[in-house]
Amino acid sequence: MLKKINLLFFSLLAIILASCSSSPTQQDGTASDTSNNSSSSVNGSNESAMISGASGSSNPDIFEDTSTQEVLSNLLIYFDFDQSDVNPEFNSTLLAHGNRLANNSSITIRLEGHADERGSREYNIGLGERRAQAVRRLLLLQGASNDQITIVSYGEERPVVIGSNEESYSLNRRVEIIY
Amino acid sequence: MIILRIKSFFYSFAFHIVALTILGLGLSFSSKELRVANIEDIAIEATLIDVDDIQREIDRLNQIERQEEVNRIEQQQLIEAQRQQALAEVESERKALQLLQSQREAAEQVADQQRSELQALQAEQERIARDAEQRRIEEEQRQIQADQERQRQSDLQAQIQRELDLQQEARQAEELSLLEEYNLMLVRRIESNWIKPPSTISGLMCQLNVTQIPSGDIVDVIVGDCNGDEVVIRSLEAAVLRSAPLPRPPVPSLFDRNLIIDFIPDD
Amino acid sequence: MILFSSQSLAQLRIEIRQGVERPIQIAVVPFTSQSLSSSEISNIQDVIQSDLINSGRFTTLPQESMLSRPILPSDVDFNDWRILDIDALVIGRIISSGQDQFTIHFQLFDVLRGEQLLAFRLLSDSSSFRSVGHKISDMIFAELTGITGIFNTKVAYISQLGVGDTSRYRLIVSDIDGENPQIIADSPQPLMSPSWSPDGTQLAYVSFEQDKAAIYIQNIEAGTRTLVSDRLGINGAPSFSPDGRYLALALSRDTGNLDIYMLNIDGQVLTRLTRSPSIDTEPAWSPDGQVIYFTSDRSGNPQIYKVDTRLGGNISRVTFEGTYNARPRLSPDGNQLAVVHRGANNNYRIALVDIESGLTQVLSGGYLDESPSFSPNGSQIIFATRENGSGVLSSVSTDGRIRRKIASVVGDVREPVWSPSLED
Repeated sequence: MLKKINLLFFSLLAIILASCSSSPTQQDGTASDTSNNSSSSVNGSNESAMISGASGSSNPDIFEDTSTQEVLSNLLIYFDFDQSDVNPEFNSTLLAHGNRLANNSSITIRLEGHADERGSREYNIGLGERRAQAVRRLLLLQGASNDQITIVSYGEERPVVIGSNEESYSLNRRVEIIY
Repeated sequence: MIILRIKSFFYSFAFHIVALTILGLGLSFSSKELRVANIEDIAIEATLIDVDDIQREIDRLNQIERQEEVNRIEQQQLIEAQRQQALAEVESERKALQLLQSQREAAEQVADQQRSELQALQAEQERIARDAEQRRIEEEQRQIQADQERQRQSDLQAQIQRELDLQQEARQAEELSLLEEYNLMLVRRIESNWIKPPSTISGLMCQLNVTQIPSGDIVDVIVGDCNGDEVVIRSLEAAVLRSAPLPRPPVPSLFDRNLIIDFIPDD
Repeated sequence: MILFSSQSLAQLRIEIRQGVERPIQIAVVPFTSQSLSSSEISNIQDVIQSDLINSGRFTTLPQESMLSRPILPSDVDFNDWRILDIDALVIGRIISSGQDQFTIHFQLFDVLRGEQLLAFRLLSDSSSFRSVGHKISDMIFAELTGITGIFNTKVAYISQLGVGDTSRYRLIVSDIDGENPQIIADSPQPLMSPSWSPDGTQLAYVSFEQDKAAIYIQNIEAGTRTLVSDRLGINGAPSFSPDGRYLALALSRDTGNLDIYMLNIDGQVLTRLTRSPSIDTEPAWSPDGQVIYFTSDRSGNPQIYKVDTRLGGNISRVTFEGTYNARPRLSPDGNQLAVVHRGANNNYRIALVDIESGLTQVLSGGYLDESPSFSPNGSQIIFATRENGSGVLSSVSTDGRIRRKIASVVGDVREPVWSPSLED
């Protein structure tokens, strides 16, 4: 409930920002992505339905371009300790990327799974792999195809932040989406 | 048993006494009634006499008187005789009674005697029994006293022994505590110098025979039975040699040139 | 009675039920040489000293405290050493026997008993003096402790320089004391999980140099290497079998999930040993090669399991203490596992698990200790720990008594793997 309100709030914020910006840069494929976005979200999971509900309030063509653009610029999915379930807060991100892949079969991505430094290294490789697989499954649900996605797990070998504290750990427990 | 016989004897005796008494009383009643009837017959005849007959009468009376006198004398004589006889009878009766009485008394006396004899016998028997009981009790008491005395004696003996033992123990304890102290000094010294090798097996048992001189310096170490490897054996020898000079005993008497050391480490 | 007691008093007999765990006092007299500089000589003598000290079982006498400096056995006066409470004495000399050829003589004495324990001559060129020193340390250590020396062994580990795009990962092999480091592999991409071949001539490791995990086997001396597995998905956790013919490894392949496999190195025949939707990784061989122990989270959290290598089944759980036991390594006698164990306060520490009883004994004291590896004699475990945010190497004796940081290894290092006993 709270999340829905949040999403609504951010969507409205996106509308305001979009109307303020003078020249929104449009990259190739983005427009078609957005047009397909709403259609694919109908067949999508509950999460995507929720997202489309939130974003499809009024005049979708104008603000969705920009908001999708912003969502697509988010390339990081974070995870809880020793978990590989995707938190619902990343649904919109994965929805956007999934739609993009579904609509552009020529686009391939690489999912890099990572873990925090705790525990043994090869087990963390397994954990990173599991996280990347979880992300991959959600993207496939959006219509992305198997051969568009490659997976690699780095475990704890490539932290973005050095530090033995929860703040660092939470930033290192991630899947990176790399185009 | 005796008492029962004495009782039955006593009962039969009493029965005879009662029977004899009744017989005696019957005899005395019959003799008294006979005498009273004779006297009343004489008084009634005297009232019927006349004067012409006076002479005759007197004669007759004299006659009669004489007769009467004679009669009276005869009567008196008879009465006297009767009285005498009665007296004799009474006497004999009295005598019989007396005899009876004396017999009875004698019998009673016999009975009494028998009774008293019986009583005496009983008393004697009781006395004997009492005496026996008394003796027994006295014997018992003597026994108890003797026992008590013996006990007291042995207690005393034990007490003395205990005190002796305590003194002995104290002496031994003193010696033992000094020996223990000495042992402990040796154990501590050697334990603190035994660097237990990692290859020490669990269940290690090694005996070392050490020869020391009064200064505590070690002149010889011989390894006896030992299940340790070469490194362990060397560590044991080193522990002893490192400990030299060994601690001196608290009293010189406890010194022994030969010291046996058992290395039996806890796992 | 009195006679008896006085007789019993006459028998002086004691029982020793415990010893002390203190170091043996050893004196290493400076070695002499006609032709070599003192710094060259010290390469032998200092190595011996530091090896013995680092073992935790010895203390050495400083040179300046020595009352005499015997060179030959006939020079030794044991009283000079007894008075200093020295237990053992080492003397030695280096004699030139040709162009850069030397004969190193050394003797070891038992000071207390006043007898010679060892006398050896070793041939060497001057560049191998450190190695000669380690060998002498091994001999002294074995003679005095009864444990096979491990000073002449090596350690392989990963070091990382820098963070992010400019970082470099290196696979390094050094002497066990951290000296003499050699770079075996160098990559801007992560290197992981080195594993020694049983003869100590090769290392298997994981490299991300092609942007995905792949397993290589590299000859240490020659530097040549072979790619042995770059299958789809993860190629990880290589581990040489005791006979050197197989590599156990963790592959995700097309399942997207790790399972344990056995790879015949020569024929590239792959045998799958586990089949579960959980993470199965970090295989480790039993010394007889019949069982592979591995990490699996099939119970919900990582625990150690074992699988029969010949039947490929018969999987059973081994660890039950705690909610995190991972990366097993077998002790040389096969009776114990060294694992990463999460214990009190969520610290990750090295623990020893008795396989038979399951009893777990925590050996290390860090908050993020990892990669335990047994010394070939089983007396020590080397592992990585964190110090000021950087990885350092540490060792701990398997009785937990002696912990030591390997200070000479610098940089952010991890994944130390103890080499087998090396013959040369």
